[in-house]
Amino acid sequence: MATSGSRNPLFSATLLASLIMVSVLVLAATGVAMLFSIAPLDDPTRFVGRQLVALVLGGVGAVWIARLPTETLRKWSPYLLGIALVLLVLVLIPGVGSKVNGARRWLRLAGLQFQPSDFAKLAAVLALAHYGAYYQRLMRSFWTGVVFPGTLLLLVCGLIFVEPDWGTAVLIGTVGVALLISAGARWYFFALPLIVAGVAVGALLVNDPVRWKRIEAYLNPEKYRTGAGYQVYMSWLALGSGGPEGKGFDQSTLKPLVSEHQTDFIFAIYGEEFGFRGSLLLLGAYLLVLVCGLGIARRAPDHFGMLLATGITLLIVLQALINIGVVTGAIPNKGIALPFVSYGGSGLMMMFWGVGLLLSVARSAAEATAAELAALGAAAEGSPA
Amino acid sequence: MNKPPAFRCTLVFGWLIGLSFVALALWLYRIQVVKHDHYRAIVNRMHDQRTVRAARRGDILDRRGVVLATSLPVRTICADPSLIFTQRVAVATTIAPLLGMEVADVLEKLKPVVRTNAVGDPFTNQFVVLKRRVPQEVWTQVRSAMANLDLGVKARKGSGLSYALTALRTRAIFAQEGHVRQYPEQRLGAHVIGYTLPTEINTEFGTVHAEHGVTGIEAVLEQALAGAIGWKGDGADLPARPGLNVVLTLDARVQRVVEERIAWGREHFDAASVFAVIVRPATGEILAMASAPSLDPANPGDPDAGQVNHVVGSLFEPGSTFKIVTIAAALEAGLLRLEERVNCHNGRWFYGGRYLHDYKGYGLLSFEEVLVKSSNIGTAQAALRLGPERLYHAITNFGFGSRTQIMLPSERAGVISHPRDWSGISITLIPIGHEVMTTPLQMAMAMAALGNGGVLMRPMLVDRLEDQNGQLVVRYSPVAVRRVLSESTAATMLRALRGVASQEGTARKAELELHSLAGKTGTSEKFFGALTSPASTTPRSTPSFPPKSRSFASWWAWTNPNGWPTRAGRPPA
Repeated sequence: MATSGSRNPLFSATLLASLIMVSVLVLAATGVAMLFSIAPLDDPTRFVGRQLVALVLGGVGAVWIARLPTETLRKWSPYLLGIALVLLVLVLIPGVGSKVNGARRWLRLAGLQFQPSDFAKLAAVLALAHYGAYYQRLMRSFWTGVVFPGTLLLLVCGLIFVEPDWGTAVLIGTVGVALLISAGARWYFFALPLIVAGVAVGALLVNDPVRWKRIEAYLNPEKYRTGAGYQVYMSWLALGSGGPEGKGFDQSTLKPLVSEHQTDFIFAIYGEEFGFRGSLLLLGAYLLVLVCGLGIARRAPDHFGMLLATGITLLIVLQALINIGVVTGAIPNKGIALPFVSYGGSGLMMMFWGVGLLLSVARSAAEATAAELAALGAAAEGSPA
Repeated sequence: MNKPPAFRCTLVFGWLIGLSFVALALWLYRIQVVKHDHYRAIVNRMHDQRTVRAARRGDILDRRGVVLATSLPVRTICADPSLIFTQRVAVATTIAPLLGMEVADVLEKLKPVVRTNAVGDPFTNQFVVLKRRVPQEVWTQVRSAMANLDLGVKARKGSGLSYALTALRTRAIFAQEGHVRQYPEQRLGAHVIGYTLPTEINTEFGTVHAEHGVTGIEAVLEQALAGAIGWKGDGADLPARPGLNVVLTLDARVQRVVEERIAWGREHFDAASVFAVIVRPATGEILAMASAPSLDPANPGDPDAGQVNHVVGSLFEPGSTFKIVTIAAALEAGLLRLEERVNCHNGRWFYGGRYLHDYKGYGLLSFEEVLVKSSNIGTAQAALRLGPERLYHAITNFGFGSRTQIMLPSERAGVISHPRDWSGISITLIPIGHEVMTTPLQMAMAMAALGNGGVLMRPMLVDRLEDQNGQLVVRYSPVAVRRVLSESTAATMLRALRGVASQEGTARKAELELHSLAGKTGTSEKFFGALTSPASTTPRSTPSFPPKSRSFASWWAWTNPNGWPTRAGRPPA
């Protein structure tokens, strides 16, 4: 990551984009391999088939999006947010949205399943980036910088929150606030509501013995391993028994005990099979996405591109951070997928489309650099020798 | 190009997230490297799919190999309600007929009980016993019925529903290994064999159902009979070590005759209890030991069952049978001769301020006649010649007042007080079997000592322990406790007691044509008893008389009879 004000010419936007593509493809390949490992013996392609279809759709979409000029994306962003909001409302209507495990998160269209919240993530980032760029000069004000976009953000998060899908709501909220601050909004405008909300939630927790027990279970999964701490405890057993070296590909023995092992808790099985070294590799891949993503943001030719690249990068990396934090018991249990790795068609597809957005920004940055160089060259030619 | 004005903020977020990743890596280091051994140990233990294998309990056999107690493999059928939940009806209607249970009962047992744990999470009970002691064949039927259970649900291969159905079909109903105790000869020898009750042995890797000896040989030799549980799985297969077979000294045929006789006797005389023991004098081997009312070892909880083995567990005043001890001791001490005549005071003798009576008035009787006619006055005078100390010593020498150390639980020692606690007339009452409490077994062993040339033997109930292949593991040998009489005194006593079962004696009807029989009858406040011993070591009249080792000493007794087992009306005291 470039910390100094100047850009390192060695790391062109094209190179950064290539690195992101490499690490994303590595992550996706890891996911496919893990899904193969996890699938039941009598049905080894149970997860892999769907995942590959989503991968192809996501890849094609990413390429198409990457070729779109950022200006087009910017023009579409309000409409995309509108579509996302409509879908988020639709999914809450009984009979339209289908209920799985007590939560309405899915839309079924012609046999295809789709989570509107996945789409809403991208739409929200696009819209906020557009908003931030549009009101660039006014972002420091309280109303324009915080209240209006904050209300929009609350609306999206609120609709997702009531599904309920707390993990995604928290993720979009966090990314949105970070994006607004990056766009120029003053951070302390957000600090006060956050502190108030934190105190309120804390007071609620202390006064609710059941919820408090859950916090205790989070703090001490081993003690509550038969109940609330079960999933995290099993995940610890998987990761811990994997050790530094891991048990080897397809050698997991705790698969049947770790629930949601193909989606939210896939990292536990990965860590069991590939060990601490594998875990570091995976963390490194996300770190590379972070560095390269922010590098692209740094090189973006305009404010919208910078905000868009920042938003998408934070979205991907924060989601990975939350997921691994949950799986390792570092943060309380909230259902959220591991980007590019977890099983899940619409999530994977949207993540790839997000990468497409990043690549689009990188392409415009590279074109801008080329134009700059051309202008420099023309100036050099035109000047007297 | 527009310089992004607030890229610094973005960088701060970048750094925050980057540092979070480093923290996460350290946290993972702790889980995956530092605590690796800890978690690996837990996982290894979890994956240790060892199952416990029940050990077959050893058999109990009579001296000829007749099986008195044996164990058959059975299963305890259990269910995991958490795997069944909505399919209760289908499961219950399928397995209830196979188990011979009511569908409603099975349904009730399969009903999931949802509780909440410490954290408030609900969980369902995962273990309930449906039926115990189910034969292996029935379990095989239940298992195949469950495997083919048609629920009318089609699940796509590999789907979650298909997992649930597989779990329901294969794991919802399961069985634990165990054995059930069976008594092929039913009540035969029940008080000696004892009985078992089912217990659960809980180990880290599962539960086995075993039988635990509660009383009798089953309890005394629990260690030998139980064997050791085995393990299976985790690459190893350690079979259970079956228990040892116990071969008793009992003879099932003799035991059966004795039990038939006492059952008849109890009914005929309406006695509260009847009991008998037959001992081989030379070795102390118990050939039969029975006590009525008896019990059914397969159903020991029956309230009508006679829990007490009166032969070892009840105390009685031995009455006239005890006279043998005094006369024999005085004879041994040279204080009297059997031909010697003693004044029996016509059945009424004033001593120590009280009258002592005989059943029938006699004048002068020889000491042999004192025994045969069971004279209280004659016996008391023999005791006076001995004096309290020597009388007491003789009584304890015969084994009274201490346990015979037979291999049975709850044997009682009896009561014989020390001479310093005796009253003035104790010296006349103890010799005739009052103010003294003995077990029937003690009386039988004392009588057997006469038949064994004066050597008191320890009663022997177990001949040997064998493994499952019939290989000898332990053999028990006869144990002589001590010599209580010289050989000649013993022979003299036997000769004299032969008269009891003659036309002169108190047991006229017991005279045998072919065998000679020495004996002594007695009555006390509560019971009537009879002792016998082989009268001589040589055949009396026929060469086919069994050799010495085939001769028996026995003790028979009836308590609280409403009629008396002699034709002579009230028998001699």
